[in-house]
Amino acid sequence: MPVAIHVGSEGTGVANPPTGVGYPTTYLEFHTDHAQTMMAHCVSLLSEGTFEEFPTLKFAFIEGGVTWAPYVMGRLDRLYPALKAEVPYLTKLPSEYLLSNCYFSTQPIEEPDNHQHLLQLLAMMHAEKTVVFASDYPHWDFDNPLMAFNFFPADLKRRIFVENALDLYGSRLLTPNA
Amino acid sequence: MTATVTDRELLDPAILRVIDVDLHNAIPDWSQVAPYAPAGLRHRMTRQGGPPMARHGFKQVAPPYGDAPRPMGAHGQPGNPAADPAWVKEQYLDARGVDLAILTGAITSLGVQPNADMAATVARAVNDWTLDRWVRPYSCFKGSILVGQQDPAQAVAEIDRLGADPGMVQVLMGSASETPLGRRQYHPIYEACVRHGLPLALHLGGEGAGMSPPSTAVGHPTTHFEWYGSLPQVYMAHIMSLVTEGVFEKYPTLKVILYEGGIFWVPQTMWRFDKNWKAQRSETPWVKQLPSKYILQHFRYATYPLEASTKEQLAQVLEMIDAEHTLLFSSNYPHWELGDPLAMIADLPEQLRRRVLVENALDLYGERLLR
Repeated sequence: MPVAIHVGSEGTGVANPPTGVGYPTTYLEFHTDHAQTMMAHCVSLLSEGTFEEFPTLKFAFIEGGVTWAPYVMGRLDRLYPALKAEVPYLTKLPSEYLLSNCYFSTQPIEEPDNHQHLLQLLAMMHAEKTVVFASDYPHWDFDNPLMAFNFFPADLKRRIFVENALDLYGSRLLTPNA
Repeated sequence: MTATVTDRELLDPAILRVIDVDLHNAIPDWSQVAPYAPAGLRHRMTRQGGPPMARHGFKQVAPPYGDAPRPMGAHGQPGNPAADPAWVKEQYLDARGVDLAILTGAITSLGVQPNADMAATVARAVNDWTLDRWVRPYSCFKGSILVGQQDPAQAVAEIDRLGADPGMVQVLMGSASETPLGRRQYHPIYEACVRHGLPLALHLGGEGAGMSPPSTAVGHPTTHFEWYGSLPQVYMAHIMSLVTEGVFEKYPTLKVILYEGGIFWVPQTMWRFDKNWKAQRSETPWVKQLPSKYILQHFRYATYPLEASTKEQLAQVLEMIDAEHTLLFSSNYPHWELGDPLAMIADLPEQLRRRVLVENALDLYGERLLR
C-alpha cells in the first residue's frame, strides 16, 4: 500500500513553524509556502535511505505542487559524490530513488505563461512515470481537468490521468469494493 | 590580458574577465579583530577561539576545501586557504583570472545570535577589520557590510556608518532568521540599503542555530547532507515573505542576491506564487503585480553550487529564470568540496558567459565595483 501525505495543517498543533524561518503572515504566503513541507519530507526520505530500506514503498506527495522535484534531484545529486560518506547506506544517486519511489499529484499544477517551460520541468522529473492527476475538488484552487492540461501531449496526459495512478495503486483500484 | 587596477581611477569594465561575488575570507585569529571592538568586549572576542556565536550541529564530511589551493600552515600541514589576502590574490584570483572578488566572510549565524548587542559588536568589528586588512590594501577585494537583523536599529546604524565607504558594495545578512524577512520590523534595514544604493545579500548556513526555528518546515534534518539539501527552501520562504509583505512596492530599487541556493527551484516558486496570487490577492492588495514579476526584477542568484543536470536541462532553467539578467558567478572560495567553481559553470551557454561572469555583477553593484 502506498503512503500519501497531504499539505494543509502546517504550523498547527505541535507542528513546527511552517517554514524554516518561522511563521508566514498571510494566507497567500502560507499557502505558497506549503510546497516547502513536501520538499523537506522528500529530502528527508531520500537522505535517510528510506527507499533503500523499503525498495517497494511508493510515496505520494499530494497538493504540494510538482515542479520542485528537479531541484531536489539536482541539488542532492550535486552533493552526493562529495558528501556520500555521511549517507553511506545510499547505493544510488538520490534522484534515482525519487524517480523510482515518489509520485507527485498535479493539483495545484504550476501554470507558467510559457507552456514549454512546464513541460521541460516535467520531462526532467520523468512525469510520464511520477505524476498523477488530482483535482482537489471542491476547493478554491482546484484544477479543472478539462482545462489545465490542454497543451499536454496525449501520451503524457494518458500517463498522468490514468496509467501512473494504476502503477501507484495497483490492482486495488480495479478490484470491486464489496 | 592583465587587469590593471588602481584606487584612484574608475576601472574600465571592458578589461574585466571574472567577478566573483562570494569569496569567504577567513578570520584566522580573532585577536586580529578584537582591537576593533570596544575595550570592555575585546576579551569576549578572543576567549575560547572567538566570540560566542549561535551554532548548530551540521558539518560537512568531505575533505575541506576540495581542490582549492592550500598554503603551508603550521607544522608543515596545509593551512587555511582564505586567511591571507595577498596569498588569496596570488593563488586564487591571479591564478584563475578573477579580477574582483566580493568578500562574504565566514559568519552566517549572526542574525540568530541571541545576544543582539554581541552580534552588533561582532558585525562592527569584523567590518572594520575587513576594510583594514583586506579591502583598503587590495583593490581586487570589495567588502560586505555584515549586519545582524535581530536588532534592526543597530543594523541600520551600521549600514549608515559604512554605507558611503567605497570599499563596501552590499549589505550582508544570514538567511537564518527568527522570522521571515518580509516582516515589517526589518523594513528599516531595506530602507537603509536603498538609501545607500546597496543590494542586500543573504547567505545560508546558520539555519537551525541559535534563535532560528528548525531549519525546515517540518523540523530539524538529521544529517548535514539533508540540511544542506533543504536550505534553498529557506530562500523560498524569504522570497514569499518579502513579496507578500510588499517590500518591493515600498522599496522599488531594492535588489536581493541569494548565495549558495542554486536555481532549479525558482520556476516552481514563481509559478505557484502567481497562481495563488490570482485567487488570493484581496488579502494583500499592496502586492500590485504578479509575484513572478517582483521575483524576476528583484532577486539574483549565484552559481555555486548549481544543481547537477544535463547541459540542455540547465539551459532550459536558465531561460525560465532569465539568467541573462539574474545569475552571477560565485566561487564560494575556499569551500570547493562540491567541485571547482569554474568547472561548475562549464555548461553555461556561450552567450550567457559574459553576463554571468561580469555584466550582471556590474548591473547589480554598479559603479562601486569600479571605484
